[in-house]
Amino acid sequence: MSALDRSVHVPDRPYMKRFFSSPAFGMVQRLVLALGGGYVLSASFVMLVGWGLAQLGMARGEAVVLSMMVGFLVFLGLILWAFAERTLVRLWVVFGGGSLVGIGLVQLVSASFAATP
Amino acid sequence: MKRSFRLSMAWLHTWAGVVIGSLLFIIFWMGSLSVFDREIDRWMMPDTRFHAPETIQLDGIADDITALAPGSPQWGITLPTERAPMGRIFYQDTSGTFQRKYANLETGTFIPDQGTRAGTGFLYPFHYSLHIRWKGVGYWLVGLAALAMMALLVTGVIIHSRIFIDFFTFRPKKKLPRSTLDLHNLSGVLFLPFHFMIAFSGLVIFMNIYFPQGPNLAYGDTDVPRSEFFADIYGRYSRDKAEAPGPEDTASLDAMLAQSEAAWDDTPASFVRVWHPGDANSYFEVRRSGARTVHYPRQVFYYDLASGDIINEYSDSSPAVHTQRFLSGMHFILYDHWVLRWFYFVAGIAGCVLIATGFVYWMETRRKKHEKMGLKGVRIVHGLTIGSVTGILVATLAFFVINRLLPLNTEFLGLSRAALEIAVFYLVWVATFAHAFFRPSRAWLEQTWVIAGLSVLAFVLNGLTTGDHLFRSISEGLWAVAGMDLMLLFSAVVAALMARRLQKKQTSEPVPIKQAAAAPSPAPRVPKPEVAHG
Repeated sequence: MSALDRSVHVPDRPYMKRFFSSPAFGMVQRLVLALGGGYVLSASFVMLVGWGLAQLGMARGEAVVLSMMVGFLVFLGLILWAFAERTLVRLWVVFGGGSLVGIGLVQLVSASFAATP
Repeated sequence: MKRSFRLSMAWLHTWAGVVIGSLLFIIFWMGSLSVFDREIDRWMMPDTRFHAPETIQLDGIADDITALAPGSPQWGITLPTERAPMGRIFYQDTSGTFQRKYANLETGTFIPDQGTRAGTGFLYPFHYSLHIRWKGVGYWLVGLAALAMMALLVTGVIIHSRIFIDFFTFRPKKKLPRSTLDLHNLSGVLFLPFHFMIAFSGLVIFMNIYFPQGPNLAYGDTDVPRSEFFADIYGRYSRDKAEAPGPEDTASLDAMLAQSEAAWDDTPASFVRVWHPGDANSYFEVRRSGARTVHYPRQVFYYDLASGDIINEYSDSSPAVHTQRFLSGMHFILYDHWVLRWFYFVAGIAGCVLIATGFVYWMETRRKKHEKMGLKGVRIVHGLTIGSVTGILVATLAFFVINRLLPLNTEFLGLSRAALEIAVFYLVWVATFAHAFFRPSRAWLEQTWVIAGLSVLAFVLNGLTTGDHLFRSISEGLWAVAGMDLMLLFSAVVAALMARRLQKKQTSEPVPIKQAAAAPSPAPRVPKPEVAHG
């Protein structure tokens, strides 16, 4: 394990600093982004696509069931990509930024319901 | 993440497998048993071992149920099938709690409580909830495992270069890691479509648990999006109580049931329910069964109980909802098809083999390295693996054995008979983890022998305590009991063969894997060529 080797070779650096620059911390970020960010992204996908298809004229029960089923595959794809992508920055942009955009869009659409009673 | 896409996927395959593998094995094991949950019920509930009635009587038993629970807001019956010949009655008593009772619907008599949750009440819910009810954590863990299973299958295919060749490759005589990997690849490749389907459809069944916020936007203009959504995809009908007594003579339940089944081209109904019994607004619900279709249907009739007129009906016909029901039906396998039922069982067990061999391969290839590094965690991982692979098999068999040992109406320490059986299951399971932790080098072997022994014991006890030994169950056509007994014997034979094989490979002390494989028997042997470069 490269994580272990590296920590053995630099014993004099403070523990916290060693942790934040270690591959282990990179892995923690990757895992949290893949599962947490991936879930927020796919849940936003389910809500927005379900709503969008209903707007396009699909029966809304149908639209939501369809977007839910596809949502699981979207989540799977996101997880696989999270472990294939090499740079953490890109993961942060897509999962972190994407989640914010997703939540923002969901808020925007629900605000439109509150405005039109 | 790693230098190449394939290396990244290999990393994910390894670690998702190691971390989630135990959980996945438990889910696959319980799922495989659930394919035959009703047959396990027959074996564990001797008073329900009879042939399904040709005709049933609802009107007669309705009065008995009403007498059991005067003023009950509802009662219902899951109707008999070939696999579960008794009617399963539930009713809400005056305090609002649900009570359950079995009855023979041909004779209209109640069956005494069998004191067990058996297959449908214990093993099957274990499969999808792990019996962790707190905040639905069990469902989410199972969902995570299903997602991990799909990720493992995809990454497994990606890291695999010789997928076609592995269809035909199994070299049991090779060294342990090699033959284990062969078996891992064989079971993985052969059942790949099934395993992907079963993981995906498992998620789809519980889509409303995993994506509870799903309808919030599409139904954003309604007060309670979720309940409007459910009304659209499941149908919804309810009628309030009139708070006035209904007529003495109500419409015949049997006639309304027959009318419903005729409307469904003679497909049997699966479930009936009376709402507000005795009230003027009382009504009767009849649901169609999925016996004839893969698709798990949602078709319901509601009748006014006083007049017998249809007051509401629901039938799912829209394509996306139908697809969801089809995927659910593929997973539930509630339709009548014995060949496919056996295929599901075999494919499920193949999943167990796939997961277990993945584990063994990971441990055996790293054992020497880990020992050299002096990692303490290895022993824990080893113990967890053994406990969740052979351990859960031992616990399940102990569950069967204790079921045949406890007399009906046993109570101990304030625990009912059903609770005692479950307590034994968990105690034995914990013991297998402890055993694996304290005897790491012998645990596989010893637990495999215990599996063989308990299987034989369960088989013998069934014959002794119920008299339905193999000759009688076969001659009387009690195929559920005969099948269960035969499977117990089969697993005893398989476990004994496995144990013999492990015994040959193993000496009393843990040996590095290469030496152990080179000297499988005490007799001196000419080293085979592959040992030299292994």
